[in-house]
Amino acid sequence: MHDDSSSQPFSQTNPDQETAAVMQQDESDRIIATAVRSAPLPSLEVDFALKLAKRIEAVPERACELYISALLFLALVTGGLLYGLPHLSELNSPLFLTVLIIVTILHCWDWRDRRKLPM
Amino acid sequence: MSMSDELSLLNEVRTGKDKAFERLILRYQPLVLHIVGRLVDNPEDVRDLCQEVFLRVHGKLHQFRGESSLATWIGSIAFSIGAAWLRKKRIPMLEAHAFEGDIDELIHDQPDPVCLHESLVDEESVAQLHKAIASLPPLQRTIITLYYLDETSIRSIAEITALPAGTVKSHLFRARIRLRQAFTQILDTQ
Repeated sequence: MHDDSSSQPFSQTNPDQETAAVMQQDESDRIIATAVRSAPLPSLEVDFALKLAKRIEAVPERACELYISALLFLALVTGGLLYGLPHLSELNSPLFLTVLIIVTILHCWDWRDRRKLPM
Repeated sequence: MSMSDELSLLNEVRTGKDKAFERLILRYQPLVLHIVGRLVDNPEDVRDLCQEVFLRVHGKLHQFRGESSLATWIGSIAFSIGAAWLRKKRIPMLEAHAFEGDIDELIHDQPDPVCLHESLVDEESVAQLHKAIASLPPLQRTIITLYYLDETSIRSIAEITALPAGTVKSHLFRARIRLRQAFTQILDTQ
Protein backbone atom coordinates (compact mmCIF):
# COMPACT_ATOMS: atom_id res chain seq x y z
CA MET A 1 0.00 0.00 0.00
CA HIS A 2 1.06 3.54 -0.63
CA ASP A 3 2.21 5.74 2.18
CA ASP A 4 -0.15 8.57 1.34
CA SER A 5 0.94 11.06 3.95
CA SER A 6 2.06 13.40 1.17
CA SER A 7 -1.48 13.95 -0.07
CA GLN A 8 -3.10 15.38 3.05
CA PRO A 9 -0.65 17.38 5.13
CA PHE A 10 -3.25 18.67 7.61
CA SER A 11 -6.74 20.07 7.77
CA GLN A 12 -8.69 22.33 10.10
CA THR A 13 -12.18 21.92 8.63
CA ASN A 14 -15.12 20.20 10.33
CA PRO A 15 -15.56 16.40 9.82
CA ASP A 16 -18.32 16.69 7.16
CA GLN A 17 -16.40 19.19 5.12
CA GLU A 18 -13.29 17.13 5.61
CA THR A 19 -15.00 13.96 4.37
CA ALA A 20 -16.37 15.77 1.32
CA ALA A 21 -12.99 17.31 0.61
CA VAL A 22 -11.27 13.95 0.96
CA MET A 23 -13.79 12.33 -1.41
CA GLN A 24 -13.28 15.06 -3.97
CA GLN A 25 -9.55 14.86 -3.50
CA ASP A 26 -9.69 11.08 -3.94
CA GLU A 27 -11.64 11.55 -7.15
CA SER A 28 -9.21 14.12 -8.51
CA ASP A 29 -6.31 11.91 -7.42
CA ARG A 30 -7.82 8.99 -9.28
CA ILE A 31 -8.12 11.08 -12.44
CA ILE A 32 -4.60 12.46 -12.03
CA ALA A 33 -3.27 8.94 -11.45
CA THR A 34 -4.97 7.76 -14.65
CA ALA A 35 -3.58 10.73 -16.57
CA VAL A 36 -0.07 10.14 -15.20
CA ARG A 37 -0.18 6.45 -16.15
CA SER A 38 -1.49 7.22 -19.63
CA ALA A 39 0.78 10.22 -20.32
CA PRO A 40 2.57 9.62 -23.61
CA LEU A 41 6.07 8.20 -23.61
CA PRO A 42 8.44 7.55 -26.50
CA SER A 43 8.02 4.01 -27.72
CA LEU A 44 10.79 1.47 -27.99
CA GLU A 45 11.10 -0.92 -30.90
CA VAL A 46 8.97 -4.04 -30.60
CA ASP A 47 12.08 -6.24 -30.56
CA PHE A 48 14.12 -3.83 -28.40
CA ALA A 49 14.81 -6.46 -25.73
CA LEU A 50 15.80 -9.16 -28.20
CA LYS A 51 18.17 -6.93 -30.18
CA LEU A 52 19.70 -5.32 -27.12
CA ALA A 53 20.23 -8.65 -25.35
CA LYS A 54 21.94 -10.05 -28.47
CA ARG A 55 24.07 -6.97 -28.76
CA ILE A 56 25.10 -7.03 -25.12
CA GLU A 57 25.80 -10.74 -25.09
CA ALA A 58 27.90 -10.37 -28.25
CA VAL A 59 30.21 -7.84 -26.58
CA PRO A 60 32.79 -10.41 -25.29
CA GLU A 61 33.03 -12.05 -28.75
CA ARG A 62 33.54 -8.67 -30.37
CA ALA A 63 36.11 -7.71 -27.78
CA CYS A 64 37.98 -10.93 -28.57
CA GLU A 65 37.87 -10.15 -32.30
CA LEU A 66 39.21 -6.69 -31.59
CA TYR A 67 42.10 -8.03 -29.53
CA ILE A 68 43.06 -10.53 -32.25
CA SER A 69 42.80 -7.82 -34.89
CA ALA A 70 44.95 -5.45 -32.82
CA LEU A 71 47.56 -8.18 -32.22
CA LEU A 72 47.74 -8.99 -35.94
CA PHE A 73 48.18 -5.33 -36.74
CA LEU A 74 50.93 -4.96 -34.15
CA ALA A 75 52.70 -8.03 -35.55
CA LEU A 76 52.44 -6.60 -39.07
CA VAL A 77 53.87 -3.22 -38.08
CA THR A 78 56.64 -4.74 -35.95
CA GLY A 79 57.56 -7.21 -38.68
CA GLY A 80 57.47 -4.46 -41.28
CA LEU A 81 59.73 -2.24 -39.23
CA LEU A 82 62.14 -5.05 -38.28
CA TYR A 83 62.49 -6.09 -41.87
CA GLY A 84 62.19 -2.68 -43.45
CA LEU A 85 64.47 -0.54 -41.29
CA PRO A 86 67.74 -2.47 -41.89
CA HIS A 87 66.96 -2.56 -45.61
CA LEU A 88 65.68 0.98 -45.82
CA SER A 89 68.39 2.09 -48.17
CA GLU A 90 67.76 -0.90 -50.46
CA LEU A 91 63.99 -0.33 -50.52
CA ASN A 92 62.17 2.41 -52.25
CA SER A 93 61.43 4.10 -48.94
CA PRO A 94 58.55 6.35 -50.12
CA LEU A 95 56.81 3.25 -51.48
CA PHE A 96 57.44 1.36 -48.22
CA LEU A 97 56.02 4.22 -46.17
CA THR A 98 53.01 4.59 -48.46
CA VAL A 99 52.20 0.89 -48.13
CA LEU A 100 52.57 1.11 -44.35
CA ILE A 101 50.28 4.15 -44.19
CA ILE A 102 47.65 2.50 -46.40
CA VAL A 103 47.72 -0.67 -44.29
CA THR A 104 47.35 1.43 -41.13
CA ILE A 105 44.40 3.39 -42.53
CA LEU A 106 42.68 0.22 -43.73
CA HIS A 107 43.17 -1.41 -40.37
CA CYS A 108 41.83 1.60 -38.46
CA TRP A 109 38.83 1.71 -40.76
CA ASP A 110 38.16 -1.97 -40.15
CA TRP A 111 38.66 -1.53 -36.39
CA ARG A 112 36.22 1.40 -36.32
CA ASP A 113 33.61 -0.70 -38.13
CA ARG A 114 34.15 -3.59 -35.77
CA ARG A 115 33.73 -1.38 -32.75
CA LYS A 116 30.31 -0.31 -33.93
CA LEU A 117 27.59 -2.37 -32.32
CA PRO A 118 24.72 -1.92 -34.71
CA MET A 119 21.18 -2.36 -33.43
CA MET B 1 7.85 -10.06 -9.18
CA SER B 2 8.70 -11.79 -5.93
CA MET B 3 12.17 -11.68 -4.38
CA SER B 4 12.76 -15.36 -5.17
CA ASP B 5 11.74 -14.83 -8.82
CA GLU B 6 14.14 -11.89 -9.00
CA LEU B 7 16.95 -13.99 -7.55
CA SER B 8 16.34 -16.89 -9.90
CA LEU B 9 16.29 -14.53 -12.91
CA LEU B 10 19.50 -12.94 -11.64
CA ASN B 11 21.18 -16.31 -11.30
CA GLU B 12 20.14 -17.27 -14.80
CA VAL B 13 21.59 -14.01 -16.18
CA ARG B 14 24.79 -14.43 -14.20
CA THR B 15 25.26 -17.99 -15.40
CA GLY B 16 24.60 -16.87 -18.98
CA LYS B 17 21.44 -18.87 -19.49
CA ASP B 18 19.95 -18.44 -22.94
CA LYS B 19 17.47 -15.54 -23.21
CA ALA B 20 17.76 -14.72 -19.50
CA PHE B 21 19.00 -11.20 -20.08
CA GLU B 22 16.34 -10.66 -22.72
CA ARG B 23 13.71 -11.61 -20.13
CA LEU B 24 15.29 -9.21 -17.66
CA ILE B 25 15.09 -6.39 -20.21
CA LEU B 26 11.48 -7.24 -21.03
CA ARG B 27 10.59 -7.27 -17.34
CA TYR B 28 12.17 -3.93 -16.43
CA GLN B 29 11.83 -2.11 -19.76
CA PRO B 30 8.59 -0.29 -18.75
CA LEU B 31 10.15 0.97 -15.51
CA VAL B 32 13.30 2.20 -17.25
CA LEU B 33 11.29 3.77 -20.05
CA HIS B 34 9.05 5.59 -17.57
CA ILE B 35 11.99 6.97 -15.58
CA VAL B 36 14.12 7.98 -18.55
CA GLY B 37 11.12 9.08 -20.60
CA ARG B 38 9.92 11.42 -17.85
CA LEU B 39 13.35 12.93 -17.28
CA VAL B 40 14.28 13.34 -20.94
CA ASP B 41 12.05 14.85 -23.59
CA ASN B 42 13.72 13.83 -26.83
CA PRO B 43 12.50 10.37 -27.99
CA GLU B 44 15.81 9.54 -29.74
CA ASP B 45 17.77 10.33 -26.58
CA VAL B 46 15.31 8.28 -24.51
CA ARG B 47 15.95 5.22 -26.68
CA ASP B 48 19.71 5.65 -26.52
CA LEU B 49 19.62 6.15 -22.76
CA CYS B 50 17.43 3.07 -22.26
CA GLN B 51 20.07 1.03 -24.07
CA GLU B 52 22.75 2.61 -21.92
CA VAL B 53 20.84 1.71 -18.78
CA PHE B 54 20.69 -1.98 -19.68
CA LEU B 55 24.32 -1.99 -20.81
CA ARG B 56 25.26 -0.65 -17.39
CA VAL B 57 22.93 -3.11 -15.66
CA HIS B 58 24.65 -5.94 -17.51
CA GLY B 59 28.08 -4.61 -16.63
CA LYS B 60 27.29 -4.06 -12.95
CA LEU B 61 25.08 -7.03 -12.28
CA HIS B 62 27.81 -8.70 -10.24
CA GLN B 63 27.72 -5.68 -7.90
CA PHE B 64 24.04 -6.16 -7.02
CA ARG B 65 23.96 -7.30 -3.40
CA GLY B 66 20.20 -7.59 -2.97
CA GLU B 67 20.05 -4.78 -0.42
CA SER B 68 17.09 -3.37 -2.33
CA SER B 69 14.78 -4.96 -4.86
CA LEU B 70 16.13 -5.47 -8.36
CA ALA B 71 13.54 -3.00 -9.69
CA THR B 72 14.77 -0.31 -7.30
CA TRP B 73 18.38 -1.01 -8.23
CA ILE B 74 17.69 -0.86 -11.97
CA GLY B 75 15.49 2.21 -11.41
CA SER B 76 18.33 3.97 -9.61
CA ILE B 77 20.66 3.26 -12.53
CA ALA B 78 18.05 4.60 -14.96
CA PHE B 79 17.57 7.70 -12.83
CA SER B 80 21.30 8.39 -12.52
CA ILE B 81 21.80 8.02 -16.28
CA GLY B 82 18.84 10.31 -17.01
CA ALA B 83 20.03 12.84 -14.43
CA ALA B 84 23.57 12.78 -15.87
CA TRP B 85 22.11 13.46 -19.32
CA LEU B 86 20.16 16.44 -17.96
CA ARG B 87 23.32 17.80 -16.29
CA LYS B 88 25.26 17.36 -19.53
CA LYS B 89 22.59 19.26 -21.44
CA ARG B 90 22.39 21.84 -18.63
CA ILE B 91 18.67 21.20 -18.17
CA PRO B 92 17.59 21.84 -14.56
CA MET B 93 15.93 18.96 -12.73
CA LEU B 94 13.81 21.49 -10.92
CA GLU B 95 12.61 24.91 -11.84
CA ALA B 96 14.47 27.59 -9.93
CA HIS B 97 11.46 28.45 -7.80
CA ALA B 98 10.31 24.91 -7.16
CA PHE B 99 11.61 24.73 -3.62
CA GLU B 100 11.18 28.36 -2.70
CA GLY B 101 8.32 29.72 -0.65
CA ASP B 102 6.40 28.37 2.26
CA ILE B 103 4.63 25.05 1.88
CA ASP B 104 1.66 26.47 3.85
CA GLU B 105 1.10 29.01 1.08
CA LEU B 106 0.88 26.23 -1.41
CA ILE B 107 -1.65 24.41 0.74
CA HIS B 108 -3.80 27.54 1.05
CA ASP B 109 -3.48 28.16 -2.67
CA GLN B 110 -5.09 24.84 -3.44
CA PRO B 111 -8.12 25.17 -5.71
CA ASP B 112 -11.59 25.20 -4.19
CA PRO B 113 -13.25 21.80 -4.17
CA VAL B 114 -15.18 21.10 -7.35
CA CYS B 115 -17.87 18.57 -7.99
CA LEU B 116 -15.81 15.94 -9.68
CA HIS B 117 -18.43 13.23 -9.44
CA GLU B 118 -20.50 14.89 -12.10
CA SER B 119 -17.63 16.01 -14.24
CA LEU B 120 -17.06 14.09 -17.38
CA VAL B 121 -13.38 13.68 -18.12
CA ASP B 122 -13.24 13.71 -21.87
CA GLU B 123 -10.27 13.06 -24.13
CA GLU B 124 -9.51 16.74 -24.46
CA SER B 125 -9.31 17.15 -20.69
CA VAL B 126 -6.99 14.17 -20.45
CA ALA B 127 -4.83 15.66 -23.20
CA GLN B 128 -4.67 18.92 -21.26
CA LEU B 129 -3.74 17.03 -18.13
CA HIS B 130 -0.98 15.32 -20.11
CA LYS B 131 0.27 18.78 -21.06
CA ALA B 132 0.22 19.78 -17.39
CA ILE B 133 2.24 16.66 -16.53
CA ALA B 134 4.72 17.48 -19.29
CA SER B 135 5.10 21.00 -17.90
CA LEU B 136 6.19 19.74 -14.48
CA PRO B 137 9.92 19.91 -13.73
CA PRO B 138 11.68 16.65 -14.76
CA LEU B 139 12.22 15.51 -11.17
CA GLN B 140 8.59 16.00 -10.10
CA ARG B 141 7.38 14.41 -13.34
CA THR B 142 9.50 11.36 -12.62
CA ILE B 143 8.52 11.11 -8.96
CA ILE B 144 4.79 11.37 -9.60
CA THR B 145 5.07 8.80 -12.40
CA LEU B 146 6.93 6.37 -10.17
CA TYR B 147 4.37 6.93 -7.43
CA TYR B 148 1.42 6.03 -9.62
CA LEU B 149 3.24 3.43 -11.70
CA ASP B 150 2.86 0.05 -10.01
CA GLU B 151 2.29 1.96 -6.76
CA THR B 152 5.98 2.36 -6.02
CA SER B 153 6.51 3.15 -2.34
CA ILE B 154 7.97 6.46 -1.16
CA ARG B 155 10.91 4.51 0.26
CA SER B 156 11.66 2.90 -3.11
CA ILE B 157 11.33 6.25 -4.89
CA ALA B 158 13.75 7.73 -2.37
CA GLU B 159 16.22 4.92 -3.11
CA ILE B 160 15.83 5.32 -6.86
CA THR B 161 16.30 9.09 -6.81
CA ALA B 162 18.84 9.07 -3.94
CA LEU B 163 16.76 11.72 -2.16
CA PRO B 164 15.49 11.69 1.43
CA ALA B 165 11.93 10.36 1.79
CA GLY B 166 10.77 13.75 3.10
CA THR B 167 12.04 15.49 -0.02
CA VAL B 168 10.30 12.93 -2.22
CA LYS B 169 7.02 13.53 -0.33
CA SER B 170 7.45 17.26 -0.73
CA HIS B 171 8.00 16.97 -4.49
CA LEU B 172 5.07 14.62 -4.77
CA PHE B 173 2.85 16.97 -2.83
CA ARG B 174 3.81 19.94 -5.01
CA ALA B 175 3.35 17.97 -8.22
CA ARG B 176 -0.12 16.86 -7.13
CA ILE B 177 -1.12 20.40 -6.22
CA ARG B 178 -0.01 21.65 -9.61
CA LEU B 179 -1.93 18.90 -11.37
CA ARG B 180 -5.03 19.49 -9.26
CA GLN B 181 -4.85 23.18 -10.10
CA ALA B 182 -4.50 22.33 -13.77
CA PHE B 183 -7.43 19.94 -13.52
CA THR B 184 -9.62 22.55 -11.85
CA GLN B 185 -8.76 25.05 -14.58
CA ILE B 186 -9.71 22.46 -17.20
CA LEU B 187 -13.07 21.91 -15.51
CA ASP B 188 -13.63 25.65 -15.18
CA THR B 189 -13.16 26.18 -18.89
CA GLN B 190 -15.66 23.45 -19.76
